[in-house]
Amino acid sequence: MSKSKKIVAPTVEIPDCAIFCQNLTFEYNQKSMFAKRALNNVNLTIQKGEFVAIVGHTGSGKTTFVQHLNALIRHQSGVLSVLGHNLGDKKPDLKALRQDVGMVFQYPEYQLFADTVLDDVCFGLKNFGIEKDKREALARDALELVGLEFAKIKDKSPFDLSGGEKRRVALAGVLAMKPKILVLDEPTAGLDPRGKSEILSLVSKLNAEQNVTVLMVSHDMNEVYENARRVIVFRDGEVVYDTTPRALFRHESEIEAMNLEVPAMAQLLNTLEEQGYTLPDELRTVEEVYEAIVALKGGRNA
Amino acid sequence: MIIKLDNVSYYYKSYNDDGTVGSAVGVENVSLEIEEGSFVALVGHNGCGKSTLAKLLNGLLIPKSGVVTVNGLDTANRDNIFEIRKNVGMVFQNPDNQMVASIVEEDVAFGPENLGVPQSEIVERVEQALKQVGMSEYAKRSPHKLSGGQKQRIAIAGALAIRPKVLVLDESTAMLDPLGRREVLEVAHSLNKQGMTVVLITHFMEEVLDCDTVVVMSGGRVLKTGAPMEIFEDGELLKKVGLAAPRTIALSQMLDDIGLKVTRNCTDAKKLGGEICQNLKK
Repeated sequence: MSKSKKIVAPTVEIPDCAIFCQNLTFEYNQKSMFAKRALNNVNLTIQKGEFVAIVGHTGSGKTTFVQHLNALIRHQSGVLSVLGHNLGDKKPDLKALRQDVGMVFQYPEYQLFADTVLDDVCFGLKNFGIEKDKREALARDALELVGLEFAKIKDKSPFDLSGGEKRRVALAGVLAMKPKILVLDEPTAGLDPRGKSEILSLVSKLNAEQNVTVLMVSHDMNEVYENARRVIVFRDGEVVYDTTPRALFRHESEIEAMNLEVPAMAQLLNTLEEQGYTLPDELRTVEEVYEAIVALKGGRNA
Repeated sequence: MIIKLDNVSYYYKSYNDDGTVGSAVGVENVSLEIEEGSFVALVGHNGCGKSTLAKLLNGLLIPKSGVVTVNGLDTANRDNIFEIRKNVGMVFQNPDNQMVASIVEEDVAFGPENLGVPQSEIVERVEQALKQVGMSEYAKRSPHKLSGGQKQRIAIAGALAIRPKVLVLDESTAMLDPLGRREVLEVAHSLNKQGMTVVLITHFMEEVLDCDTVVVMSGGRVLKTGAPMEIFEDGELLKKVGLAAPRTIALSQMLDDIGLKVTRNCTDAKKLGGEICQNLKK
């Protein structure tokens, strides 16, 4: 891009929301022969308190997108505002931003490092300059929030815990900072079914009770279908779908063409719809679908 | 029987809060027979003992009591250990920490090289192993640029190059995306069709559908052994160990229970959907 073409970012009215982006574009190795465009004119508005799933195949741009949200990847062009922090500014207040946006990476338990669980959970707080007494109180809240008994676990080595416990300790380290937006990159990967449902119900609880905005990257479409209220699908750096889970999974052939799976319950409801039996869009779990079918059958017999 | 476990127990050392040494159950009083050429799934929760059991199968762990025999050889006898490990290949969970070389074919050659297989035969074995997992075209590539599913297929090729009779996949699909999981399972099933005995350790219940036998473990013990559908029918057991039948199967059971005419234990959501419509039309 030559200098004469450089466009001054237009002043856009930024609405009061969690995440707002307009024409967000990002290239890796910019200005070199290896330049690769990872995001292409992404436009999104995510309201406070939403539970959004981000899906897409490897290389679709979903990780590049979420890494923008707390400035792990620095904004290149377009408008990006996260909770009023304008990331297009020359020097955005990264410290404040990172306190607002909690990022939980894939396999966060690999990042545990301290001698005790308490030290590990307090690490982030310490870096944000929070005093010792207050740190402990926040760590206690966070550990109890993720379902671990503070007194029992605080002096243990994080490496002596089970896989599911480790992941919850790692999550507590992020939650202790009371983020307003929680970004989770495959939070349930590698966990057994019980560990999965513990993490998912915790995230749903934070979303419902504390109005935390949740963005969850996931490969498990059943999990997406049962938990998210909105799904954003990335492909080749662009947003190709942005809709409710039920509406998304009506596009069966398109979803399969992207190497994603159509959740079992969505397949079933789609078949019913084809034959003229339309059930409410809110049905997600096996139990909910079952109840609806029973009601439908009962209604007919009566 | 290619593998036989007779009343096997294994305990780990554990340190109590007061600093004394105690023991924790790995597996306890497990008896199990694995038939040559079968496809066996081991399921259960984290900490249920399934990985301990896997490590007992090739002498990575030696039982504290009871006997494990592989092809008639006792794993507790040190003289047998090389022969046993030649017979039982293992692939673990994390695709990123099973790679030892910087080129795919060298990585696959690592096993036979250590066994002192002659060079010309190594080349042949590596070629064949990569072909079996469908990765021949990646022979000269660097493993770290592959996807998770591809890495696991390379790890399987590495095990195959030793020409084992049994392949143990210890949660080898747990860290993969759905596509990678499918790749690895397809390879496992195709090897099984060629006569390989496969032991698949998993907590994805969808993966056990096509197995011959499912072994359900909890607290270091085997609670039940049976065909997949037999296991899925035992709702009480699944609940107890914190597992659940795949969604479509669960729904078909619930509908069948209240008298709808549907295929019980149906695995195809579309088929079940069609059958539900037939019921609604009446």
